[in-house]
Order: sequence, then structure tokens, then C-alpha cells
Amino acid sequence: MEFVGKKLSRRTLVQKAGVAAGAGLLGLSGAEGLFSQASASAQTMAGQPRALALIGDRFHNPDYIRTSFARVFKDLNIPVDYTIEYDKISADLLKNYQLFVILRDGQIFPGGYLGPDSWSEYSANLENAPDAAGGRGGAGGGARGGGGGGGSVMWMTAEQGAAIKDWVNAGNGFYSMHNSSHISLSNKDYHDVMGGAFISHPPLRPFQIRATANKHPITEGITPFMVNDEQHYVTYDKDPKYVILESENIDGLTFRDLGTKAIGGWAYDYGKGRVVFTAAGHTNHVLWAPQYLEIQKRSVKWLLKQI
Amino acid sequence: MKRSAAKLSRRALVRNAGLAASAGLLGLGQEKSLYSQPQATAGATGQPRVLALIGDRHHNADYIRVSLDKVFKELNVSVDYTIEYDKISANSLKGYNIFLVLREGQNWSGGYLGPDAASFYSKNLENAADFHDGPTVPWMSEEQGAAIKDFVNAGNGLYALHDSSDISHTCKNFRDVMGGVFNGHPALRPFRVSPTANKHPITDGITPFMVNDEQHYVIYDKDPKYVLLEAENTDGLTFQTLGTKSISAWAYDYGKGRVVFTAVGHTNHAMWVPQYLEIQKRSMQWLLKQI
Repeated sequence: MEFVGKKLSRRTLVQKAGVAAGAGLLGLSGAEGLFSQASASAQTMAGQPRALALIGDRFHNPDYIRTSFARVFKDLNIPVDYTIEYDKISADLLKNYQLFVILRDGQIFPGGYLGPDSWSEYSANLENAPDAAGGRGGAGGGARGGGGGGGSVMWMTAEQGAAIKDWVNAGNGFYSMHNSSHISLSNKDYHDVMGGAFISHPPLRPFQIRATANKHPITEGITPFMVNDEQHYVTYDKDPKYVILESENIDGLTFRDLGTKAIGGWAYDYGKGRVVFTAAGHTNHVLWAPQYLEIQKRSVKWLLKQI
Repeated sequence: MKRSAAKLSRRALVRNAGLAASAGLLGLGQEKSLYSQPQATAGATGQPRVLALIGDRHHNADYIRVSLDKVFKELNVSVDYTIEYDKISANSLKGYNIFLVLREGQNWSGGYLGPDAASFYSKNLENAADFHDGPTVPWMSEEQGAAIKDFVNAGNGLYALHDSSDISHTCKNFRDVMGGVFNGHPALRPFRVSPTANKHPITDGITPFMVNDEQHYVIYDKDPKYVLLEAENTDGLTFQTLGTKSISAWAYDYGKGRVVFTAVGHTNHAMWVPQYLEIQKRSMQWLLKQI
């Protein structure tokens, strides 16, 4: 791959051979039948890792996220269950998985809002636009003004945060992506295991992502790349040596008083498990930028201790 | 949904069905989600249970769940929400009493800009013409359609909402049980929804109501006596050559089970209009044979 500057190490080559063999196995079992549960179970019993992906929120349609992730997991030959049921995340549920991915913010809007197109021309240029502001029940009417209805509610409970922390401590891998840093704002255990918290972001605009000086298998040989995405600014609580990516608006555009640069990703051991955060992720375009696609794949492999 | 009102030929239907089957083969399909044990729960409580397949490129599952939560909470009916269209099967439907779909028939597996693709984020690009959508891939296989058909025939309920009529374009079995097919819609604008003259517990006493929604125009294949709601643009605005009126809901027995379709559903606003909320609740109750 062109963007990988250095030659592959012996260990990486061995790992790639393993993945290729796995892909061959999937091809065979796929030919056995449309929905061959037996072969799926056999894979699970053979010790194949399985991923749970909690995706989607009001501003991030799970459809584009799944479309994006499907490519990562297909290339890696790792089975994945996609869920939008944030309320069913628990210690019991996580037992079935070795990898947990979240691309979801911390809030829900049970009081309702206009609908799927709330950022689009459907809700822009309304004659009474100020009256139809998002997050207040908007034109949805329903719960407006009644007992706190309307605004956002943070969904992750203390028990759910503790479950994720314990699960990672026990040796599993947690991949926190994009706006999942927002969950940290309301959950101490989640904040502790995830390692930082969302501040905010400017609109979609081009910026550069590059590896830091900290050597890491996830970013080894990855050259700097441009994306058009939300440049997320986050606080980071752990040792700076675990920061593996940084982002910069190379046109010199700042965000608030936070300058042009933001921390773009980190990776560390946590108990017997591992944690990765990468901030980019608002579009298919960025999730499929070749270098970022490679970073996601390596992140998954590193979390599963395959590299 | 951004499809025009083109009618599909039989050949196109067959071809698309083939594509759907291929898509199923390539899917990550394990039939049973590990995180959902509907059979155990239903068995333990005897409470009716609903599987809701929601969300697509143009219909964020988030607003749908927010909307439907209100229906199910007020009915005290348990629901599992899923976006995993590829895991819908005879096996995964076991343990449920109603299968609800608010999802179109297509995927854009070749990718697209992202969640804001319908917004200013993707408008006014210098090279907008170059950044067209990739091809669509229909997802429902005939096996999946047959599973839904068998599920209803066996005595359960199908609640097809809003853009799920699009699935009928590419799945014959689904179309047969669902009863019609999507035929296009104008932009969000106000129109009136009224009960027809056909008496039915779902619409008994419901007064006409205005919504600002996508007025879906659908082709309906069954007996006209089962049509429960019609929609009309009372300002006289027409859509293509289809006039101001469209069929907006139906309900009928199918085998030992029941089927309801209601077309409104693009916004929280429309889903929570009091009359429409009541219609959704009664639809659920009628499908469960409680009314």
C-alpha cells in the first residue's frame, strides 16, 4: 500500500497470513448456505473474536456508520453485531464479545425533534425558524414544556460505565470513535476507561491528520493525510506518550481559543485490556480515506492483541 | 427516499431479486443476534413482543425509535429495535408477535457522503455533479420475504410503516403480504389524512388531521374495502400525474395473521400528531387481536 512508508515487519507479515487464511475459511463457509448458523457457531467456537458495535444517534445515522464499518470488518474477517440499543449495553451483553466499538454521542432526545432531516433544507429557511430550534421538542410538539421534555438526556448509566470498565480490565478491547468522547461528559467510569472527553468542533472543513512522534503499531509508516471532517477537540487525561494521532487545520483556521491543533487519537493498555480512540468519523469519505481505513483496521487488530 | 415514480418491469423485479439474494450471501449474516433473547423473554412473561426493523440512509433510526418508544410505552408492549436487515429470518422472527418495518428497500453499500447527505454539507460543492450517489443494492432476499409471509400466515402481525413499501419493488413475497408498493412522494408539505368510509376499529371515531410529512403515493394490490386512510393535499397541489389524493393506510387479515400499512412517518411531528399516534396504537392492538 502506497501510504505505508516502511517495509512490513516479519510479525506483521505473519499476522497478515493469518488474516488471509481466515478469509479463506469464511469464503468456504459462506458457500454452504445463505444463513448457515452452524458455520457461524463453529467460527465462534473456534475462538474467532466477535465485535459489538453501538452506532448511531440523532446526528449520526447508523446507516452511514454501518456502511463504513462493514468494509473494515469484512476486510478483517471479524463478525460484528450492530446495535442501536444503547439501553441494552451491560456486563451480561459484553460477555459475548472481545471488541466493543462505540460511534455514538452521549445524549438522546426523548422529547422528540423534527425528524431525520433536522439539519437539512427541510428544517432550514422556515418562516418561523427560530421557533423550530432543535433540541426543544421543535415542531414535534409532543413533550414541549412538560416536565423537562424536549432537551437532551444523557443515556449511559453508572452501571453501564462500570460494565465497560470491568470488561476492558478483564482483557478485552474498547474502540471509542468520533463523538463517543461525548459520553465521558456524564459518566466517570466511562471517562476513565475512554481517557478523555469531547469539547466541541467546527463545521466540516479540510484538516490534516498525522501520526505523532510516539511509535505505535497502529500508526507505523502512516503518512499524513487530509480529510474533510469535523475536527473534534477533546480533553485527554492520560500520559501524553499514548497519543498517536494529531490533527491540524493547515489553513490556520482556529476553533474558539483552542488553536489549529487537536489530539486526534490515542491507544493504551488498561488493566489486562486495551483502549483506542480515534476522533475522525463524520463521513463515509473520511472513514474510507486509505490511511484512516488502515488505522481503523490496525486499531481493531491491536485491540485484539493480534499486533 | 429519493426515488422517482418509475414502475418496475417484471424482468427488473426478477433481476433485482437476484441481486438481493447475492447481497444476502455476501452479508455478515449470523441469524440470531447474541444480544437479543426474545424467546426467553416472551416465554417468561407472556407479554406480546415486537421486533422493529428501523432506519435507512434517509431515515435515521434515532428519530424512529424516539417516535415509536412513545407508542410502545403507552401500550406496555416490549420491543426490540434492530438495524440489522440482513439478520431478518424465519428464525429471528420466532418469539415475536408483531414485525414492524420502517425501512426502505435499498442500501448504498458503495458509500455516500455521510449523515448530512441531504443537507447543506453536500450541497453547493464545486464538483457537485461529480459526487453523485453510488448504485443502490436491494437488501431483502426472497427467503426473507417468505419468512415474513410465513410469520404472518401463522397468525402474527406485520406493521409496514412509511417507506417500507419501497421493499415491495424488489421482493415479491414481501409485496404479497404487505399489499402494495411505493410510487414516489413530493417534498415535505402539509396535507390532510382522513379515514375512508370503510368501518374499522383502527379508525373508528378518528377525525381528519393535518400533517407536514412526505405524502407517499402507493400502488395498492388488494380489495379496496380494506383501505382505511386516504391523504389529500387540500391546497390542490398535485404530485406528478397522480393528483392530490393518495391511499394512506390499509388493514386486512392474511392467513391466520393480520397486516397493517400506514404511510405517514417521516417526522417526529407526524408520528406524534394525536390522531396518528392513536392510529399507531390501535394498529398494534388490532395486529395483536386485542381489538
